[in-house]
Amino acid sequence: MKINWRLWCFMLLAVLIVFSRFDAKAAEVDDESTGIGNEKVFLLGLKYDNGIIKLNEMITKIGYAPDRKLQPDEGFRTEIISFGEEVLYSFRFNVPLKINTDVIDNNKVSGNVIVLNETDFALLVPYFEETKEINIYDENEERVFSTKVFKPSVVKRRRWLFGVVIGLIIGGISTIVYFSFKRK
Amino acid sequence: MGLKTGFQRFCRLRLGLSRKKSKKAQLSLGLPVVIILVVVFSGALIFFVMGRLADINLLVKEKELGNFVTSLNNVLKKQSAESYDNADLVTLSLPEDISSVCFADGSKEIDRFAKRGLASRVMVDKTQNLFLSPIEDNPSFRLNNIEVGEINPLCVKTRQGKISLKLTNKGKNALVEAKDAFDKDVDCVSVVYNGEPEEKIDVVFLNYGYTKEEEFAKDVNDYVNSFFLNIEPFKAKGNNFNFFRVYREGSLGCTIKKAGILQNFISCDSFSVKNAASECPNDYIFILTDRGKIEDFVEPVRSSAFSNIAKINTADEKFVLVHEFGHTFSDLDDEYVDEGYYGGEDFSDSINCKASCGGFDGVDGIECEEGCSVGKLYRSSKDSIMRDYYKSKEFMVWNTKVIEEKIGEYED
Repeated sequence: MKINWRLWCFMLLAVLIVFSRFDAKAAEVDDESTGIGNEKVFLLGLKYDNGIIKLNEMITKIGYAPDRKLQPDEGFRTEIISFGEEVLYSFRFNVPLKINTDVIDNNKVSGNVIVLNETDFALLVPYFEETKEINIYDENEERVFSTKVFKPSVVKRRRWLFGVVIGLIIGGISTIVYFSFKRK
Repeated sequence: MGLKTGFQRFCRLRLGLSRKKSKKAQLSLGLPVVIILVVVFSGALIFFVMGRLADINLLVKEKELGNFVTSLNNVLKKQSAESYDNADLVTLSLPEDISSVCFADGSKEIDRFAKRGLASRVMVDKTQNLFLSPIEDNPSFRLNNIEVGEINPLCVKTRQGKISLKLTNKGKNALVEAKDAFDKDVDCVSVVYNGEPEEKIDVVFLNYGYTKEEEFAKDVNDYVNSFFLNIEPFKAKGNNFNFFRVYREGSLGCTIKKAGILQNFISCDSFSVKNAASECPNDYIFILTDRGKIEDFVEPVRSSAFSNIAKINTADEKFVLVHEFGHTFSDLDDEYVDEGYYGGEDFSDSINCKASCGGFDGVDGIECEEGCSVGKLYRSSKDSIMRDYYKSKEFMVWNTKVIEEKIGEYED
């Protein structure tokens, strides 16, 4: 097969032009991310199961996190870590495994404590632009949970990966078609 | 041509290919290059087309927004020329991704909790008075001949890309209101506001089972003003608290878990609860569950507390609210005795249930009584809200001290 150099150069040029748009897009996204709405929080949906904590879901939204002036002396500890490995924010909390329930029976209050081994719970944590990861440590200071935090702008910038994946699929199909025609 | 010759020469020298083999080498080298280029080019082309389509959509939206603002300005101008108090209803269309339209007067005090992100946006866009939700994603505009009433900002929900407003002539301006009261869009309503959230204990009420926001608002006001702020020590320390409410038409993932007679309790999705609560400052959360007395008589449901969330059955005695707050805010244990339930619990860290009367030393007015969650522990008073809120409407000396100390941490 002979390479068509003109076609190659044309395609290369076209690719360069199109990819220059990716940078422009990325810059736009960055501008948006530094805009209005600084009262942001991370909302982490977590699952506790016999000492193990897993992430169900996590969102970043505009809102309020508790000020946590009252914290337990012991318990789990959450840390927000920056890209420079600094602790940006830290607080202690108890996994809600103890539920006080009260019932009124014949005008008399009674009830019980339900103690759970596993539960879903959620944490509202202040948002920091430079957050790299959120870690949770147990009472023995052992890390039981860690999640990386991706900035929305970075996630959006990865949209080009979608283009590449589609391209790979089309390229693959083209190759198969090319070879099937060649065989004929 | 020179490039081509150079490339062929490079292939021969670098890859050690003889002139005889060069034709075959071109074949093996050229095909992957073409495939790679096809891959990259196709991907880039698709991305480019998608980008173009997005740009076109953006242009269409900008045009629609422009039309909306122009139309609104025109109807405001027309209305301001009418006779005083003359009112008209208008319906305008706008892009479907606009969830609500907010009118804000930056020259007056703005309820910073009403719409998230709006107060800070008004501070930045000082001359603008029209904002579109999601606030952070949309531009702001300036309207003329408009008057915003006592509710500032006023946010009105859109319905299928349309907004309905009531405009009333107030001299040279037109007062803007939502056509229907339930079209008002408020993220967070401040019920009692005593100061900056970071300096106060912020309590937020969420709804479950309510069909009308007005009923929820009435119940919240009742719980806060007639009960919470009427009981010591909250009465004396009331200025340390802020109260808010968030009304959600969804159920917060709440259900009544049926576990047997007198065992039913309210279970909610923690993520949904925290998501709704985050609309307001939220150190402590109450979920008010609307239940009728008869309904609750037939099928009783427990109020409960865990972590910083208390779920209140509105059919219960109202003092259950402060009882549950005793659990969430001060970690107070129940002072009634229920051996069957509490048998396995560890009370060594309990604040109000002590192994001996000596645990309450140093405080005057203690009536050390046997029985506190379990029979072998002691409580500090014969009756209190933490024991039986039918018999006692007070926290009594020890528990009051504990709560005051906790509140004191906010006063430091």
